[in-house]
Formats: sequence, structure tokens, C-alpha cells
Amino acid sequence: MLDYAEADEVQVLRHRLRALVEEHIPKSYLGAFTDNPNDLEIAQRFSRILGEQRLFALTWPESFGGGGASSWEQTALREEMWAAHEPRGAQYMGLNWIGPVLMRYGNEDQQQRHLPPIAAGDVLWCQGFSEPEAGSDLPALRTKAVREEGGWRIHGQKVWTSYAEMARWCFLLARTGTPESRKDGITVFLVDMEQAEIEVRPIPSMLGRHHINEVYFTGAWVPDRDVLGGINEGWKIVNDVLAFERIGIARYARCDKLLSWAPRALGEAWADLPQGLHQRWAKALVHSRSVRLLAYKVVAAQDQGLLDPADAAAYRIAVTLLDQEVAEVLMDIVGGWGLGTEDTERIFERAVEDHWRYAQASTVASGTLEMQRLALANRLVGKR
Amino acid sequence: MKNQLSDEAVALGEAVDDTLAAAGGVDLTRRAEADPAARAALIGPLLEELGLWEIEPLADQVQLEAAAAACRAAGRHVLAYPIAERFAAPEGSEGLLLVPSTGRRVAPHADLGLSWSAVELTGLQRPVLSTGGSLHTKLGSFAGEVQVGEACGTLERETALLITLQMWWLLGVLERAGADTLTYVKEREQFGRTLAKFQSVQFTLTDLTVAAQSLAELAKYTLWSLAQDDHEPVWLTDALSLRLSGLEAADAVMRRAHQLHGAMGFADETNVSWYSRISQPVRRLPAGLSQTEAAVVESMGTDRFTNLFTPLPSAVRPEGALAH
Repeated sequence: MLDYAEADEVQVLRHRLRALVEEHIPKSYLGAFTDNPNDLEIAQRFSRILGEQRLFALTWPESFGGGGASSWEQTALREEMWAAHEPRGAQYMGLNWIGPVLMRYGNEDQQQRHLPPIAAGDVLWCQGFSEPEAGSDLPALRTKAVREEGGWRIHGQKVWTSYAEMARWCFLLARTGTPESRKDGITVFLVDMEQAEIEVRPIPSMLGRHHINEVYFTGAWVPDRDVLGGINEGWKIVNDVLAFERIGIARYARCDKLLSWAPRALGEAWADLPQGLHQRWAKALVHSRSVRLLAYKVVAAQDQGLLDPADAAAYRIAVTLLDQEVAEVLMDIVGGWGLGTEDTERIFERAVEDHWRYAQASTVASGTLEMQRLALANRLVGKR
Repeated sequence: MKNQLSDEAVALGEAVDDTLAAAGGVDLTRRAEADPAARAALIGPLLEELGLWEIEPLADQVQLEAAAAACRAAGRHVLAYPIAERFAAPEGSEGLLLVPSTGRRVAPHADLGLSWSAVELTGLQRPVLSTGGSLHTKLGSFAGEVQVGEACGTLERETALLITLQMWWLLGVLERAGADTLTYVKEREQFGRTLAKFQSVQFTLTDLTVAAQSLAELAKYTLWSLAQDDHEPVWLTDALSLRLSGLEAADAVMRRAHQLHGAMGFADETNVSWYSRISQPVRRLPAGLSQTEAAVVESMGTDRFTNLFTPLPSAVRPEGALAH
């Protein structure tokens, strides 16, 4: 029988998280990666506070330093954090997928070294996937790992790497097979970023500071102990990573929050908006509800071990398009304030401007809209 | 959180599906179009035998889910019968009509001689003074004119039920249209390969699929909400929101189903022509997409929409603030 009521423990968690955000995160906070270095400090401090209260790795198994919470508590955590402009900063990456992948594919030594710092909110990771000649066609990647006594030397270039400037570790894909080996010649390396043979160059972008970077590897060293899984067996791990990523960010939660906030933020001016805009706003609220329910369908299936990657792709298609629809509606609602303002009292308008910029990347980051469509189409019509 | 219908509802949906398939499926509707007035006798007994009219959808959630599953199964055969309208019948009548508040007063299945009650999208109740026969048009064979009297109260929950069940019927139509389209593109060859091998066709299919899946999940949520007594303030808004999504999904799915079927899709020998035509009364009456959107705005304007961060603030949006 259908049941969409939220369990008591999930509601309690929501209230607790909202209270913590209220207490520790300034109302003007729009994420860790702005021009204001204080924002990054706020995120790092908040991550440690969550860690102290065992709320950071809330849903990890207790054996890995987590709280052993349910997948619905995990969902609520994602929703609350994303709605609050992710006050954990870039930490969500380690929590949402690097940690879970290490639990599944890492050996005991790797788990012991890497999982506790992630669970404590002490370490940032970045993801070395895309390259200049390997975007959606990831199996075309050329960054090479060359075997030496006791480990591997990495040579090559990654691009669009988020948070690389501040990351301590990189989850890197590199070629260990022949240049033609594609999916069968890729290995995952856990790379210490504090080496002279790694250079990070930020790419100025509309997304804001630290969001995208180029990373050059000129003989960076990875000891054998930091090879994840088997040599040339990285592709299977990548597929798992992408599955975690597809449901990792609850974009609809911020959409819900900003749409619900709009009438209050505009006050009396709200009634003066044209009827057509009210209708787009109402439609966006309904769409956001539908997308949230698609997410819950994926979570419910995952909970029962029945996750179909095609369902995750369908959700991701819907949620990324929602993000952009909501961005357009909100920009129309705020009018000229959407171009940005230094007035920090204009919290809603600044949040809308931030949302619009960030939403432009929704259908590109973590697998483009077209790749999600292909993933779903493969299930519908069978693999080509 | 559970997003699966009860076992009883699933079983009833399968029984309705099997019964209608055995009786000819979409061909039942083909036969009904030749003589719309005769469809009560053609289809009614099939549903009667399944015991559908013993179900009281508003009595409890199990019965509500059963009614929805039956409507969805009927939709899969684009059944030309007032199944949702009969499930939503208020005390003392055989069926409930959803009638326009302005313009031509026409309603799906009003051509059938049942003892009808009528409501508008707002829940406003009006007595039915008279009904006419089938419009006998390509799109309106299973619709009729309705004359109604002065407003005589409100039937908010029954209205929400009717809207919701009509959308479950429409969901069945759209799911079947999507499935038929998938089958077609896997069989039809052009340029030496099946249509399904073309990436543009695949992308069209994915957009169709996401639209239908989104509607299915929202339909389940809306049904559950209608079964919750404490959701009374949002019953109608939730149902109207579902209608909005249903109309959008219908456009997204049927536009693509037609496009991928090519000229074949217009021919009455293919079912897609029937899904497209026979779903029109429910999609256009009592209000099309724009007017449904306006109705949703009106309804939300009294703070009747919930999400992760609502109730929406009422302090700055006084009653009627959104009415233009």
C-alpha cells in the first residue's frame, strides 16, 4: 500500500539539521566556493560540527565510522544540505560516493587510511575523470600510468576537475592498458595531491571560484597500496561511481526552497507579477514535487537492492531539467536583481542569481543530459 | 515510504486488464464509436461482473487504490466508459460529471443516460438539468452536452477523486501509447535498420518515458494524499496539480507517439489514433492546460500546496492575492 508519510526519525533529523544550519550558517551563505574566503572556513567548520555529532557520515555503516542510518535519513540529509547551499562544501563528494566506493572496492588498508578522515570531515577529494579529448567519451582517456618498482608514475592532463585546488586526494582514472584498450585498460588510482609533479590551474568560469580546474600530472607518484581494485578493472568501479553520483545531489530540494520563498521575498510585489508568471511558478512547484517522487522511487528501489540504472538516469534527466526550468522562472520573478547585487540584505535575489549560474551546468556535470538519455534508451531498446 | 500499490489493487488492475483484453481491448472502443449509446450495454456488464461498483473509493485507502488500478487498466485499452465518473458518484447518483464553468458545457460520457451529479473544477456542485447525446465527432463521440442549474453546495473530496481517477485512466492510456510506440520503432525499418537504432528516435523515446514515469509517481502520491484525512486542505490542490501534470504528460507522450508512428499513427487501424482521439474529452474538459494552470494557482493561493519547505507563507499572500 502507498505510504509517503515521513518516518518520525527522518523528521527529527530534518529539524535537527535545520536548527544546526540556522545556528551556524549565515543567512547570506551561498556555498563554500565564492570570492569570500570566509565561506570556505564556514563550510569546514560546519563539517567538523557535523562530524562531532556523528551527523557527517550519518548513513555510513558504523564499522566505517558512520551512524548506520537508513537510506531515507540519507535522503533527508542530502535534501537539507543542498537546500542550504551545501554547507559541507565539497565534502559531499567524499561522503556520497568516494567513501561508498572505497567500502565496496577498497582493501582493509585503504579503508582504514581513507575512510576515517572522510567521516570526520577532515579531507577533501577531487575526481580526475574528464580530459581534453575524453569528455562524454570517457573510455578515450589518455592519462597514462607507467609501472615502476613499488608503484606507478602518472603522466597526462585532466580538465573540469572541481575543487582540485583544495583537494588533498584525487580519485584518478588512468590508462594502464594499450592506447586502444578503452574500457578494458583503465585503472583507478588514489593520488596524493601534495606533490610537485601535480599542477592545478583554475579555469575562470561563470560557476564561481574553485569549481573547475585543469590538472597536469608530470610523473606524479602513486604507490601500489593506492591502486583501487585490480589493474585494468577501473571501468566497473567508474560505473558504480556514476550510479552513486546520479542520485547524489538532491537538486529538487533547493528548487523547492527557492520557489516557496519567492512570494514571501517579494512581499506586496508578488501580486503584481503577471498571471503567466504565477502559472510558471506553480507549474515549477508541481514539477519539483514530481521529480522528488522520482528520486524517492530510485531510493526505494536502491533500498531493496533493486536499483535499475535506467531509473536513476530517468530521474537525473528530470532533475537537471527542473533545475534549469526553476532557474528561468526565478530569474523572471526577480527581474533586474537577477543580474546580481552587492547588497547582502538581498538574500533571496542573490540566491536566485547563484542558482541560475549553477543550474547552467546541471545538464552537463556528472554525465551530460545526452549520456543520461543514452543510458535510459539502452534499457528501452536494448544495447546497440 | 512505499511507492507500490497494495496487492489487492494490483490484482484488481490485472483482472480488469485481462477481462478487457479478452473482450477485444481497444476494439471495444472501436465498436462503441459506431454506436456510442450502446456502449453502456457493451462494456457495463464486463465491469459489473468484476464487482467494481461495490468498491467505495473514499471509504479507505485499499479501496481507493483498487479504483485507481482499475481506471489505469481501463486506460490501457482507452476504454470508452465512465469508470472514473462512476467511482466518484456522490450519494444518490450514479455518476459525477466534471463540467466547465464557462463556455460550451460539455463533459466526457455525459451522453450516457445515467443519473448524474455535476461539479466544476473548484468543487462547486450544480444540479444536472439535462444531458444530450453523443457529439458524434472524431474527438467527441464519447462526450455530451450538459445543462446545469444554480450552484447547490460543494463536493470537494468527490471532485478531487474524480480528477485523480480521470488522470489514472489517462496514465493508462499514455503508458500503453508509450509501449506501443516502443514496439513500433523496434519493428519498423527505414534506411536498412530499425527506427530504434537512430539516436534521435532514442532520445524522443526517453523524453516520452520520463514524462510517463513522472506522471505515474505523482499519480501515486496524489492518491495517497487523498486517502489522508489530515490532508483535507490540500486534496483539491493536489488533484489539480495532478491534472496539470497529466495534461502536460499527455501532450509530451502523444506528440511523440504520433511523430514516431509517422503517417501510420493517423490511421484508425493503429491504436495510437484512438489513444490520441479518445483521450481528448478528458484532456480538454472541463479545462485545458492553461485554464488548469490558472486553477492550480488559484488553489495554491489559499496556501494549499506542500513540499519540503511549505506550507507556503500566507502572511504576505492574503486570500485572493493571486487572482487576476
